[in-house]
Amino acid sequence: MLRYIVKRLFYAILTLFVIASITFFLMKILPHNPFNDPKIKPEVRAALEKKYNLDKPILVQYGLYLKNLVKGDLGISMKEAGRSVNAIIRENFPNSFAIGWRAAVFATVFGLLLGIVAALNHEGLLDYLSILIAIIGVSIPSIVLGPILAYFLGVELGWFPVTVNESEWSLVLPSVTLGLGSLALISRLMRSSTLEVMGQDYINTAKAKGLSKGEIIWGHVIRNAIMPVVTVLGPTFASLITGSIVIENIFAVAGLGKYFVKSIYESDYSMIMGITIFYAALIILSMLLVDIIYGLIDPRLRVKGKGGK
Amino acid sequence: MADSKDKKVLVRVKNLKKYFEVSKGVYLKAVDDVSFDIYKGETLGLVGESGCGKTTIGRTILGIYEPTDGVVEFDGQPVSGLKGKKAKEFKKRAQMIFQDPYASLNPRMMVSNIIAEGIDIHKLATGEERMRRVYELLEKVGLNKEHANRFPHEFSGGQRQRIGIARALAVEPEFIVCDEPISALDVSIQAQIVNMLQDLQKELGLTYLFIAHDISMVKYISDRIGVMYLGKLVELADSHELFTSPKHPYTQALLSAVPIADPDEAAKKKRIKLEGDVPSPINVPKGCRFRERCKYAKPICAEVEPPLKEVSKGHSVACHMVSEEK
Amino acid sequence: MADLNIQNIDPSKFTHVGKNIKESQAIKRESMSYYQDALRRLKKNIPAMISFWILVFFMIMAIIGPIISYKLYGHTYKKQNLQEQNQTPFMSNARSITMIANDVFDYDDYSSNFRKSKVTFRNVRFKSAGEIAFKIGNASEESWQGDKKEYELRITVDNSDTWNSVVKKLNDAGEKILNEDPDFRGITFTKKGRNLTIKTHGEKWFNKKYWLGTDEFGRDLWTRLWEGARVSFFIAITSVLFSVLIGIVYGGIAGYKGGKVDTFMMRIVEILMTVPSLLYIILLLTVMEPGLKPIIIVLSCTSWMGTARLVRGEVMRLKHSEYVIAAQALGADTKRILFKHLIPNTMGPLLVNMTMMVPSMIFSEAFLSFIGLGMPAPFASWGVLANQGANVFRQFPHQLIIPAVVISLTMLSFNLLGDGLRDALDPRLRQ
Ligand SMILES: Nc1ncnc2c1ncn2[C@@H]1O[C@H](COP(=O)(O)OP(=O)(O)OP(=O)(O)O)[C@@H](O)[C@H]1O
Ligand code: SF4
Ligand SMILES: [Mg+2]
Repeated sequence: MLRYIVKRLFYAILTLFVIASITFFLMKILPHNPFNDPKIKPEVRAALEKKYNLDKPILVQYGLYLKNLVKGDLGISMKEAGRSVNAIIRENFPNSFAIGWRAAVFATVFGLLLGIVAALNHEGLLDYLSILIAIIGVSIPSIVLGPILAYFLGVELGWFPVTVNESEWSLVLPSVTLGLGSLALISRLMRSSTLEVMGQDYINTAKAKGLSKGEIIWGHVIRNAIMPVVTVLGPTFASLITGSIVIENIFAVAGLGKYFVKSIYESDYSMIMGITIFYAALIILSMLLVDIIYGLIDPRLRVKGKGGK
Repeated sequence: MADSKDKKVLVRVKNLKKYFEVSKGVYLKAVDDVSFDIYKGETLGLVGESGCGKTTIGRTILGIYEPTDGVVEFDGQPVSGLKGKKAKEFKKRAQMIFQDPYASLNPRMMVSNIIAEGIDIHKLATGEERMRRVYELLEKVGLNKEHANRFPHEFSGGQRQRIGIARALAVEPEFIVCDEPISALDVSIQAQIVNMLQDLQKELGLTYLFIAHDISMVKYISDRIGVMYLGKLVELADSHELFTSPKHPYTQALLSAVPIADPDEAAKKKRIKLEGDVPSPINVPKGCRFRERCKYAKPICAEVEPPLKEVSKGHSVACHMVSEEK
Repeated sequence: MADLNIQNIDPSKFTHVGKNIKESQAIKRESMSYYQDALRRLKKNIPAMISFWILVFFMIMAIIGPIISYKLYGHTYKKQNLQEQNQTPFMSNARSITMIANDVFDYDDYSSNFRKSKVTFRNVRFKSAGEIAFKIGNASEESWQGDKKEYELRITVDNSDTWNSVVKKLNDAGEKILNEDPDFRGITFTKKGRNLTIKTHGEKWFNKKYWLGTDEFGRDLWTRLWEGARVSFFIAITSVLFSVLIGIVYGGIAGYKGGKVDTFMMRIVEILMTVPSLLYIILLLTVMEPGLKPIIIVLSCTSWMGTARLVRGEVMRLKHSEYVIAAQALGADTKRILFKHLIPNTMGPLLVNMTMMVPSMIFSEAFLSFIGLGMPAPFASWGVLANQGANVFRQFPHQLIIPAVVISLTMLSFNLLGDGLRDALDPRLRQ
């Protein structure tokens, strides 16, 4: 088990390193740097370049950059004087997270429920409903779904506020919009996984032993069916993070995603770079956590771990 | 059968080894030091439990697998290392029929193209002549012209196996490895296919290596039978001799499991039950590989691997106890 | 009954007909190739077929849509007409004004009452948790008269003894109605959620010149929709083709070589796949100038990993399949095995994979437009349209809903078609 975790951890760090390097060199092949503006006086530019280490050879810059990364320092914004990327993340990320975790919980809980209910009600009304939700979830992109939910449920019916404010209620629409795609995916997987498990011999054995329906479903079906679903949770949560970029702009959330888009519009490269790496780290971390959880609950991996293999 | 001396050796397998590297530094010994000859015009049966290396031997003989050690000679020529024209020439002379009639035909190809694949590769015929040959082959294996432009999934297992046979025959080979050609088929179809293979052998003067995991299947078609256990050849004898006086404990166990139609005979027979499992070909036990399941095992069996020795004319056995008896 | 004794039956009445082997080997069904068979199966799949025809329709419209509107009215995707901004598909001379109540307050009830020559709102109370009552008072009479191009609708709000004014300005058509009809019968006052809407009645007619209305620059939305379809389909389909090409080569090499090469190549894929491709796409596009070519390059360079995995798996599987070994035993060379056996047998899953990739490309394109990295103005793409629409959806919902429906239908259709293809080609259903 420990070996498994160490291996996962190693790959996580390796991945992050690759991403960080790609990011760095991509930014360096830019034809211009942000201080090439002819309006900036040469002395000022020199000072600025010195401040951002742009005057040093590229490998030295790379080294400094990696050193800072290890220390957790993501650099300084090139457009907002003196503000560090870390400060901006610290300030804006909590708002993103508030929506993100709600979306994750919403997608997981309702996705699993819907999948199980659909499988138990195979070819029934609820089953078709879940298929419908799954189809909608994969076919309607969030940039479309967000404004449409905002229009119908927010503007037309007035059930929810269209922009996010302090009230919990205002977080409903963005969380639902963000989580729906993942919900669809999880429910679809859970449905097919549950159906498959229910067709297995050991379920028939359990039935033959006279266990009650509830005992079978809870003790055997769900436990076994949930395993393949856990493996997709990592990528699913990763998609929530990129999804939040859109959602925050639609619902005017003062979160990191909104800031990210702003820095793209303003070509604030150090900001883009910093936030990308932050996102990548976040995604890799969530994948790692899911992997470890999977390792903990998967009996096959547990046995292997005991064998020391 | 005729005396082996006046028969011409077509295929000679000498100390053949084939190991698969399953992970770094870990080898699976699928075939481990096997030697035998196949004479021209005969059928050599090869039997053994699933996973004992029969397919691997067949494929190594045909040069599909590169041997880890040892040599395979075909008509006096070593098979491995053949290149270009020579390799092609060999592949025209030696062919294979496969175990699984479902997996051995490309589902995207028309039957005529499947059968003509060898004709195309060796550029034996084109156009009308090519089709004429395809029709002829179809007739020969008991199918008909109309089947030529159909696709494999439209056929039953037995019909597919006929197509596979036609494909092998298309290049007019002398030698065919029949890798369990009937084990995936219904019993009623099995006899049809075996009869057909025998007729073809007579008609075309073919030599067969006939692989099966059930010893009773090879009884009628084989002139000689080799018995394999865990990558080793443990007994090799004339078909009749092997059935009447099996020497190796494993062969005896296999034969005792064969059902006998005559109830009086059956009552006389004592069934030898094999205990335990076949060891893994990755961790082969020292000494005799059969030792853990053998009731005659003696201390020497755990120490020394018994070599295949001729105990009577044309009858070789790899067992310490058998050689001592003599 | 007693007569019927088996023993008494005359054997000469029976002849042995024998067994006709030839007959028993006959197949009565019409011959079909694997793909013909799959096609037949696909045709039975109703959702997939509907999806197919929807996509065909969209593609035809992408070709002829802009031509039609150009021939009839001379519209192009970039021609602006600032006199005719933000028109709707159904025109109306009705005008409305919507006020959104401040979020802090919640309303209680309302009633409305119209009198000749002036509008009176009475007893409209907005009540918050703090029990602050609001009253929307009379609109002052003078402001409704005169020849001014602009007039004011004055709503006075009572906030615990303090009177505040909210001044809203109406112009053109609204004024026209009011001027022509001094009766003001046509004015309605409605609430919807937190919104108060004052609306003048009017006629509705179909917008003959701009079938789907116009955008904020007065550009024809019909033309832009189908022009956008051209761009979006082009981006999606070429990106998929390039991406699949990369995937086939990469996965093919990894699968065919196997061993260490395969392990190494697949590790790279694994690392690249950990992070969602959108992040790379953003990074790469910030580096490049926006435009059609960079978008296609970036999209295909960031999406080939799935295909590579698929192809590798298929090649691995097929490499050891008995029919490939049979071909090897017959002396087939690598080229023949590749083109006669491996590739034709990978086409099916690959086709499904490609179909399923198109919607994700369309999504990526839309996403890029949304964050400002998509096609630059004045080009139209579905992403650009959806993004523009999202900005004005409160006032002009059709500008969002039309591209939204088309995008969603397209993605849905590709997904359903892909599902249908997979079911039709699934080898497990066969034999
Ligand atoms: N390409 C390969 N790579 C690794 N191991 C292999 C390979 N081919 C065969 N083996 C292994 O070699 C051993 C012998 O396999 P082989 O197919 O020769 O058995 P067999 O006697 O033909 O069995 P069966 O009756 O099931 O066909 C098996 O343990 C098998 O797992
Ligand atoms: S050598 Fe020994 S263990 Fe092996 S078969 Fe003969 S008696 Fe049995
Ligand atoms: Mg075999």
